[in-house]
Amino acid sequence: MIEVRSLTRRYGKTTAVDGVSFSIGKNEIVGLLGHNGAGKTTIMRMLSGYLEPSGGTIHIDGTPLADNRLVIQRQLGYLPESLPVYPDMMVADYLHYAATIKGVAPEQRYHAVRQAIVATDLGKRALDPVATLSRGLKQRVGVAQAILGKPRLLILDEPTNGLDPQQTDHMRRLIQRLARQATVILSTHIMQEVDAICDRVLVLRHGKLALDKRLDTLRQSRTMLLRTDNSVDSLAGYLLKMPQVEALQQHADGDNRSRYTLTLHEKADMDTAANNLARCVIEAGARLYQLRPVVKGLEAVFHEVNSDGP
Amino acid sequence: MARNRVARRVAQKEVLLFFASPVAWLFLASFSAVTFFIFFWLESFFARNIADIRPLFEWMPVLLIFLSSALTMRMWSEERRTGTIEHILTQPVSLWYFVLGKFRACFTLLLLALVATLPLPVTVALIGDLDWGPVAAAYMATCLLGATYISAGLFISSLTDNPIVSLIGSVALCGLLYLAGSPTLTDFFDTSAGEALRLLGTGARFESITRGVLDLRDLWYYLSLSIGFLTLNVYCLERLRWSGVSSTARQKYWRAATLLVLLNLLLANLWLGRIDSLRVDLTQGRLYSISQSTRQFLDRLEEPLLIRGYFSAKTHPLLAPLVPQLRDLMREYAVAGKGKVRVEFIDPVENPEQEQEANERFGIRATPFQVADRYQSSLVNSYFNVLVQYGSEHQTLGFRELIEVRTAANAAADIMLRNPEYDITRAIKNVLYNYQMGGSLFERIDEPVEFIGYVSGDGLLPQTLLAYKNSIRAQLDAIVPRSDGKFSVRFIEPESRGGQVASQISEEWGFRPMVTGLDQESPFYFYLTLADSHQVVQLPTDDFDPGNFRTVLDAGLKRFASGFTRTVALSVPEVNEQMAPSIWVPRPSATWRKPFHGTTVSDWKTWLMARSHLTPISSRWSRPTTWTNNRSLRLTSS
Repeated sequence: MIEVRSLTRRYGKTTAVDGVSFSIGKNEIVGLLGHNGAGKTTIMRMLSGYLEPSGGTIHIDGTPLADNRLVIQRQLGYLPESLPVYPDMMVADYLHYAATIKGVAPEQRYHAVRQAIVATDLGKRALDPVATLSRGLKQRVGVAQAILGKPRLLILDEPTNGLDPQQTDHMRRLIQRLARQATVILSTHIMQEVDAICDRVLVLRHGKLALDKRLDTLRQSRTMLLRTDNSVDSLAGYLLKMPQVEALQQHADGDNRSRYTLTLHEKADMDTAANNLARCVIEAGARLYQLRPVVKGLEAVFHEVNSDGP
Repeated sequence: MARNRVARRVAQKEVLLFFASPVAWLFLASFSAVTFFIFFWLESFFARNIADIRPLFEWMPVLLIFLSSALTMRMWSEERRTGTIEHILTQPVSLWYFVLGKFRACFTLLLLALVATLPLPVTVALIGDLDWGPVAAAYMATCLLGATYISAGLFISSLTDNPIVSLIGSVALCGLLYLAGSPTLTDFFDTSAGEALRLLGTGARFESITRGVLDLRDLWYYLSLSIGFLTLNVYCLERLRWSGVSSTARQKYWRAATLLVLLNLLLANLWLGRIDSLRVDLTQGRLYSISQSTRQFLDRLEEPLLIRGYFSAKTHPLLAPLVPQLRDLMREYAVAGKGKVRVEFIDPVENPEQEQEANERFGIRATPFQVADRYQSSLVNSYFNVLVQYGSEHQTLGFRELIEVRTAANAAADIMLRNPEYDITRAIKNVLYNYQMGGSLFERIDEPVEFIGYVSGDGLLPQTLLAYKNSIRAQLDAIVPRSDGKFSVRFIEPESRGGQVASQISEEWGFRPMVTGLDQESPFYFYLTLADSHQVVQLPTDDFDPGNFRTVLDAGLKRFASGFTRTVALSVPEVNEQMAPSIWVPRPSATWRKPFHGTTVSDWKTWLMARSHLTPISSRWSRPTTWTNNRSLRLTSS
């Protein structure tokens, strides 16, 4: 669906995005994660056609964005960082305006507006001026404008910004529903957000792509935690002889107990490893208190990515 | 069409947003207030006592600058400030439609502001006789000028994200456009440079349309400026996408396209600048068009006619604005002359030979003008003359003949061209006739003319008349062979054939037998006429002096030749009951009153009506009429 090759964007002398490449498949939900100023918004702006890249290319469905901008933008729903709403307009009027300039055919326009209002649950406030809405409701108006005309590509810059937990939950469900027909790229700096809805995460750091992983592989762990007593002295040696184990760290864990952090080989199967390790401990004569895979949280990954290097 | 809907929807949104804020109402209200203030107070409409609404548009170019800048200041800068521009730049519609939509919105608001001034012309039309042509033209000029300013304002607004900066910027830009052609600036330069600047400025063209002349060049000028600024507007919005100016293919394409559009607009302006015939005069009396009678004179030209203007580059400041007017008019002659009229302009100071020729051959001399401003006073020798030359004949018009000085209310002299078309056409007519007089009279006569003398038999005539008759018969016989068969002579005795002719001429023309004295018993006839198939004119015999006969005959023959007759048109107001007590209106009487100064219009009317059925010939009539000083009478010659 989207092919991005060494995308670069400079603002004057500062480089906001520096040689970022990735590709996104159809109906994927991809989260762009990074600190403020990491380049998330700039990438989204380039994907939406608002900004031109200083270098690199964006292909959407095989066609370059630069040459086919208007055609591609017809398929695009975009929620910019700053909400594109006019405070003095009525919600429904604004959505009608947005549908018109988006090129929604006149006969489908009212239907599209109604759908967007229903989907974002704005029905009760549809005839109020935007200025009278709360931050969260305005955010929903922004999303409603983005989903007008059933876009095939949704780019949402911090869609849950300013929403309370209930609204956030509602928004997440909405995005997941939309993803059945569209590819969604959303940016956030909230980890749970990505955890909850994304299939894949792109972590940006200083304008560079620091991590590009599917969430399930990210969740997968190659580390096991083992707690035993200290009755067998050479247990560490036995454990290291296991074919799945690559490295081992031993920590004292209170009175006469030890904690081992075992790093497994890359291709090792977790279940086999667990079975082997349990048998090894029992057969060595030690007492097995705990054996579990260590699942790294996204937060840990994020910190890991952001802490190394300068 | 779908795109057009986008522009319309954008315009709709902008108008809605405009009226959402009270500032909008304030702008419109203050615009109306200032307009009315200027109309009634500054330009003192009632004191002028003229049924037109020129004062309304006197200040319009300046007022529009502020109105347009105020209307456009938020259009793009607000979008940039709040970030909604990002939304616009990601829509699948070309930016042009957004720009067009905003333009339409501003234009609608401008129209609303103008509608608020409509009560003025309507009221004037109700209480006076308003010429709607110039009014419509002026409103059109206002719309055009407004469109130009709005485009400039939109362009400036797209450059900044601060509405106040946009307001100041567009006032500055529009002000510059206006100042370029205003007298304040053009006075620093000589006439030609000043004129070029005037063409660049928005104000001078506005004036030209406001007076009621629609010129394609002016329309295109405004249109091209508007399109130019809107194009720049689109370009500036597109530039927001770019990261600095670099030479990517897309940026090159945009720059080239923008440059090409601007260049085309400019070239079209230059190209159109040479076409001066595509204009419509909207005034009721076609005040700015070459009149039909002038055209008739020009059609009669057989040789090339030269109209040459001697204008000095530096002249009296009050005369300077008249020079372009006169030039425009003279160029109209060249257009109307269909190649037979050559119009040229000479600055004698730059052409010493031409100056010498002007001085020696045509007797044109520079007029010393005293020019005084705040700092200095000097004498300027300056030319303000027009030469009309046809064949060997020429006539010159100096500034005394061309201008009229009126003292305005505030004691400052108001100098204007008196009636330049009339003056120039009269000069053309004079040289044309003077040249034609040189040739043979019969060449100008198309149909054979017969001289018929209703003269009694020799026996009945007194002695003096008999001698007179013989003398003129000899003169006539000498003329006949030289007339190419166009002239024949016949004497008829009215008493012959039983008086049948006598009763006929008495009935038709009132020729009655005359007597020389009371003692003479026998009446006789002595009437001389010239006739062709269309008309019969009587030749006056005056005091029966044979020496005068040739003059009288020539004058009579000129009635049959083309190019010698004058038509005297007299325009008189209807005298109604209310006017009657204030002026003395004589009863129309059959008696002939001699037309002198002091006789009223109705006298003239009576006199002319009385003479109309049989036009007497007198040499007085073949001279150019010189009654122009009498302002109550307007004589047009054709």
